[in-house]
Amino acid sequence: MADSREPPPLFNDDDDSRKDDDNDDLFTSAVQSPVSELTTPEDQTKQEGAGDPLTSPPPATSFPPDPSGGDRPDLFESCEEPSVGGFSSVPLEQPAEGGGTQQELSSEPPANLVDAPSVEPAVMSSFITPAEEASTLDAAAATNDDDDDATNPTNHAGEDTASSSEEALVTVYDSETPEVHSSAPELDADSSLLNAPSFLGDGETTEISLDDTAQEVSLEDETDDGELFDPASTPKLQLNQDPPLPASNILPPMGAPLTPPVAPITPTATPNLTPNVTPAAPTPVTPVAAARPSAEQLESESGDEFIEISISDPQKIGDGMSSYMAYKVTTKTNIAYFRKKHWSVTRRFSDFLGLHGKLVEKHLHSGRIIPPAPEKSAIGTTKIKLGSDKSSDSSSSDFIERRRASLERYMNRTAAHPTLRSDPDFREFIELDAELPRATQTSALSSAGVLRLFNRVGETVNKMTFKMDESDQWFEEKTQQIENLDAQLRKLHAAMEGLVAYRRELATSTASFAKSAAVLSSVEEHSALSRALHQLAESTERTHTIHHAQADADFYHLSETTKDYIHLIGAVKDVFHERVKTFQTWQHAQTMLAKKREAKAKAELAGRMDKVQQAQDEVAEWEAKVERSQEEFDRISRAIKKEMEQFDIVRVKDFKDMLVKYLEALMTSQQQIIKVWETFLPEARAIS
Amino acid sequence: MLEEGSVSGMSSGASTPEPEAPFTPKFVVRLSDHVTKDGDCVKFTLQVSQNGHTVQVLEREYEDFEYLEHCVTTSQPSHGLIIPPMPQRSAIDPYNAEIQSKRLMGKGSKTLIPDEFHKDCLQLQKYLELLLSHPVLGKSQKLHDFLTVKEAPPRTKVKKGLISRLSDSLDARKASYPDCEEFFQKERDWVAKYQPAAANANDAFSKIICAQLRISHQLEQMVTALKLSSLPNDQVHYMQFNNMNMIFLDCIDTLKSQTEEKADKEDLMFGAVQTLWHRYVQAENAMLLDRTCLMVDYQACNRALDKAKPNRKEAAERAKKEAEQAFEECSDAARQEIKEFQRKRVEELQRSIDQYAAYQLTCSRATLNTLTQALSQIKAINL
Repeated sequence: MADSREPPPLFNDDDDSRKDDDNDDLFTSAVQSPVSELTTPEDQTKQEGAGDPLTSPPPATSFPPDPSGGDRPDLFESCEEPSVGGFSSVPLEQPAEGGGTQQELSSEPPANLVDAPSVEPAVMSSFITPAEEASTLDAAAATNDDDDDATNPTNHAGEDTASSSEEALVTVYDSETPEVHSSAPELDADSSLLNAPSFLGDGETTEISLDDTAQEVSLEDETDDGELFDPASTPKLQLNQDPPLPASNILPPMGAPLTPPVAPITPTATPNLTPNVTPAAPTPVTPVAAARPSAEQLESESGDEFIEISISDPQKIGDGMSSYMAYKVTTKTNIAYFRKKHWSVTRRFSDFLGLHGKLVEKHLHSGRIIPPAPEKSAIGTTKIKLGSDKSSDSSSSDFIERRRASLERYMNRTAAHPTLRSDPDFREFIELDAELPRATQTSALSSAGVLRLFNRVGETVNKMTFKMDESDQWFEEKTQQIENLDAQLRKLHAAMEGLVAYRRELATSTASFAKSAAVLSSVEEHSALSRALHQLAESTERTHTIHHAQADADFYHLSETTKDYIHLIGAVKDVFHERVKTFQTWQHAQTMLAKKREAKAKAELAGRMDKVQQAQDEVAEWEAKVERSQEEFDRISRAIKKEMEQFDIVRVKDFKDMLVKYLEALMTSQQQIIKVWETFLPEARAIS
Repeated sequence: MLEEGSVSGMSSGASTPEPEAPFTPKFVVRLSDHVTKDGDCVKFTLQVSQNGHTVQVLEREYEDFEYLEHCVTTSQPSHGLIIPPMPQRSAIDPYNAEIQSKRLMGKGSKTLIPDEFHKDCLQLQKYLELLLSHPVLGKSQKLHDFLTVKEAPPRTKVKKGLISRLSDSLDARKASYPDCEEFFQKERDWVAKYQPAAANANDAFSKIICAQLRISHQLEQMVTALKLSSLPNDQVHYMQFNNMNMIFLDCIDTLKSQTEEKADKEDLMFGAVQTLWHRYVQAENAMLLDRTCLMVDYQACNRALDKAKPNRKEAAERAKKEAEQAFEECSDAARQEIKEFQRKRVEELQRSIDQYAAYQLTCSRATLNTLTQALSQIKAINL
């Protein structure tokens, strides 16, 4: 929390606007693209479009700083502006300062910097980023100054890793913001970023810069750096390395506490730090490993980024109506702006809803399709809350498993969206190793819930009453298409639900047949027939479990996926409606403008000059508003088109995945059934 | 008669025809699939052959079978005989068909199960086979007339009167009398245990069939829904989607017909056989009850003889002799019948279990095959 929140304030305003712009262009690889620039500053400018794949890998390395929401925007800026000139500057700096001292200096500032924006990123990115980011000319100068100031504290941090970490954090807070601003007020964002990279880079970056004159080389070097480091690096460098590495490792855990830098965090942070530090020290390799995928990414494509979130261990916490379910959220990723590759946190159900709410608030208006969170089910939860935790009756464990699965799908859907997964709230959600503040707005019965209900009713009325004359044929077709899709999916879902229900029925009636066949066999006097019946009973009993598993497969693969899509279609509709609302404001602005112009004309006719002036102002004001809302409308239309394109692609892919998985499940159950009867037949024949 | 009462109105299952060992049936009857339905009147076509030559082709209605059963069982003394159960009449009018469909497919279902005459044919054929292969009943002149005379014999509606029902219920109370012979006592105990167990198994099995029918129905719904969800072919990934959709749709469609066929066949080869023999056991029970009644009569006569005054002694003696003879005859016949019945029962049930298992295998293999094809086709589509 702290990380993302603190830094964001600094940059947020600017960042958001920039993000939007970036996103439009770079939709899929918004995050990556900036990074790419870093890698090949000079070329990047030219390559930007094509360069994405290449650049993307570097982004991974550079990204790490991103963890905090604020960082990312900074990176963008830094990349774009400084990158061209910056590159050259970096090498210059490094040679000048030399190996040891400079590195230390640089490293320290990052540590300081780290506190606020991105602790982890620094570590990760340090390899690559220092060079890249250092590229920013301004930053270079600024950083040096900063570094000098900061060096002392940072050194402590590096050496004393465990104990110092706290101090470092503190120092960072103190030093960071003021220093940065003071040193380079204009650049502040950039400089801070620069510092971070430079810090990381101290050891490694210097090497890289030395080795690589060519940008391309730099990528390779990165991978090599890790390996080369140990042997090649000078003793000083090594010293530096050790501290930075642990720092980086430490930082991630720190990051969570950092965010609430104020008071309580530091104490919590320390415990985390110590355990983390130990692993970090023995494994200097880890950073290398992190760097490597990024290098590979460079060569391959941004598509290689993967993030996989799994939800496990649902746990009931507390008793009675105040109890809640907590889930373990485990993330595996190779995306560099996450601090680790594999970690887990604990979240409760309302946290997921809260996350969704935040994402909607932030991204809906810019035309993004936000995957809907699973629905809150008052009945299901109450049952669980009231049921004793020991008695795992099947309906509630079913419910929990269902919810767990849908949460997992929800998280992965969100994570699959490049913009959403880099959202500070999302990252905080999956990364912050502490409890999130309660999301209070989620309860269906709370006042907020009622308010939401009213809002929804209002929206629905609006949707029904306002008929916008569609100027864009694409949207007209798409809206129609979405409506059809919705109806079809609902139909399909109903059929699937029926299928699941009857499959369950088949399973239960098979079980009861197995039982009665067993009874029959016990009654049967003819021994051969009795044994045959007994075999039959056993075989059907086995098919019963298979049918049951099949019913589950039907449910999880077919029915739930389809249901998800019904909800996703809902999200799509929301986005479309958001566009309609934008259109409405634009229309409103236009009518207002017309009115104001009329008023102005009247005033002119009447010859009342004082009023003319006032009317003139108003006209100008509304003209600006019209222009702005039109821009907004165009922007959201463009964004939606991009989103829909992506949505369709993902949908087809999901559809294929679903079919493959489902067919495979069907095949497994058929194979199992075959096995059952294959063992049955010879036995039955042997009897008769 | 007692047997008639308890047996008529019961239905039977069907199974593949099979030759009978000791007694060679005089005719072989095959009900062809040609069935004409005219309102409530359903006519089955019988092909009667003797020694491999077709002797007669004739049309019979269900009512004719009912009347035949009545005649066969009443025209001769049937003590100690296990009368093959008559198949139940299937619902042919829309009202009953609807009730039947709702029972099978669930209350909310709107599907109406179409007439399934092939099942009726098989069951009636099986019934005639059982009659013909019965050592006593198979010789009945009425049965031979039924199969050789072109015109169906004029029939009267067979109705069970109040009196016969009353006597049935009185007789039923005698079922608890202990038997004087261990063989029959054991058989009676077994029947008493077996009947509920078999009834349960039948119910459970028919539920499996139901569930499968419902599944196939849902699969059909899925197919219709999938058919509607094709997208315009104007983009590459839309086309891919449509392709996958088509493959999946075909696959589901095949699965649907496979499930349907499987349910149908399973019902015929296992469910119907189970039901038939369950009914047959009921018939056996009726026979045993009849015998018990004779036994009770005989015992009563014995007691009457002991107590009889000298002037009545002769009449009592005569009555006792008659009762004894009837009882002895019945017991002898019943012993034969039961042995034959059990042999046949075990044989047919075992075969049906065997067939059932083998059929499960074939079905699953076919399904697996369909799935494998669909999966490989879908996997071949590169996104």
